[in-house]
Amino acid sequence: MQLEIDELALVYATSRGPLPALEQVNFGLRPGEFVSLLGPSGCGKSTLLKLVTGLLRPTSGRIRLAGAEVTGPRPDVGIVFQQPTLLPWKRVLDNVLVPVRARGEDVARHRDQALQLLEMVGLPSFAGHYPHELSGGMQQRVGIARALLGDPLLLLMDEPFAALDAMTRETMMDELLRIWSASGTTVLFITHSIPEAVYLSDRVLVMGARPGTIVETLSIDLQRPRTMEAMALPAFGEYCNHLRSLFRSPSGSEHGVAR
Amino acid sequence: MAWLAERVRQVAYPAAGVAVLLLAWHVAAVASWVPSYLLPEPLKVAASIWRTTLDGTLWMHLKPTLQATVVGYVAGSLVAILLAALVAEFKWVERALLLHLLALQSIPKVSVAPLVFLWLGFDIGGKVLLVGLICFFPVFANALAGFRAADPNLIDLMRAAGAGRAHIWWHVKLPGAFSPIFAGLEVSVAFALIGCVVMEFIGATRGMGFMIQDASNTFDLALSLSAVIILGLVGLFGNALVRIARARMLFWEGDRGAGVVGSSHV
Repeated sequence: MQLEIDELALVYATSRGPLPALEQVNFGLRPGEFVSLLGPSGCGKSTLLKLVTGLLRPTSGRIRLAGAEVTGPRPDVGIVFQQPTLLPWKRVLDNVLVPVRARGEDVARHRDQALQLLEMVGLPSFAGHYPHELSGGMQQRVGIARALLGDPLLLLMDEPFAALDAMTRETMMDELLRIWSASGTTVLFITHSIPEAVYLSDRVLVMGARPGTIVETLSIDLQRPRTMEAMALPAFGEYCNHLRSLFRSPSGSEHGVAR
Repeated sequence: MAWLAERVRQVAYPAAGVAVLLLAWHVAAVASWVPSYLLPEPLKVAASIWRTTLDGTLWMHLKPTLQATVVGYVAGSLVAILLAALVAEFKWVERALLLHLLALQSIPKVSVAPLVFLWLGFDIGGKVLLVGLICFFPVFANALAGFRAADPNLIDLMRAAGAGRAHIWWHVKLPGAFSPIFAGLEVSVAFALIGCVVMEFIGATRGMGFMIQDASNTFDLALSLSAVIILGLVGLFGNALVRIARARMLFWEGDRGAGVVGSSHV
């Protein structure tokens, strides 16, 4: 298992007493697997992300990354956020190298890989540009290249396409699948879009809110490589309908899935 | 051709505005609507500027004012950026300092000018202190807002990569705060001259403030107005310098600037 999460719980201490954010979270990711976490906002997805990167310590339970327990910040986890979060005063290539610099490693040693990654995300001739000269979708590609630098054990994506317009979003979904198969990395993809989760994933983990926990796991058996035409398949519609029903059913709202 | 017409309009309208104002002033003075000892005609003021420029008296008074203003501005702004960084970075500094700083902000800074004069005399020291005090708050308030607005995701990313606090501050928070810091610097540059001139009113043997007061006492209103106009031009020049520096450093912002946070009582 590339990522193993065991009986994970996190309780925030607030002025009004303890607030459980996550409870009994259990799942695992096989190497090279693409798994989506689907859930409403406020279900603890971002908290989970901080736990996996070691920025937060769980109240109880364990997180293991490639067999080793996560006990502190993990530089071998790549993160992509909803916003590109680039440094506007640095050129694209230097932005990709930001985590390397933060780790205090030799930048020159990673330069070639950074350029290769820029080529892989479809920006071979933009290394010398500044972020404000790029479109939103291009900026997000730079963010993906930055996250892939140094071949991370895991790529965490926190609603990376939520801020893009619908057309760019579809292009980026295909691009991500292409990048994922080219890099062979393991992806944990956080989203609240049902079609996005079904289209991209090998498995979809459905999260319920308050406290956040996994309420269902759904394997997506659609052929790969996938194209947009897969969305027209009856099976695709069935997966989506099933997931949608989870968010609507009374039992779902008991789990706090519906909001 | 359209851009040329636009260019001409950009220059012609402000120039016409100044011309109308000068003409009205001239007519009012020549027609003696206002007694000439209270309002000298514009040409006399221009002649006064010309004469003092040639005989060196203008520079003799301008130089100490410029020196004290620049030193006070730079010192006050640097202290402001440093304190804002500490308040934003360390909770205990914020608890210990922020409330007092905000309380101090509500004091009109020029009201302490006589005290500063008693403490530091009419040398450059007193002027620098008052200028620094006046410049402090606009820069402090904007810098603090800037440091606090640092993107938490970016900081998480850096922390996950193992970056230390100093690295994050230097590479993310400080450059990220440049935009509001410059907004504060632009406000302060206009205020800086006030502190210096006020100190020179209270006690000085040189400086633009002294020049204005001395000329007014001897009813040389042409000279007094000359000094006022020169001060205005110096202020415009300072503002232009800060704007140019801003455009250079914040090249990615283009023309849109950050909003100014808070303002200051002088």
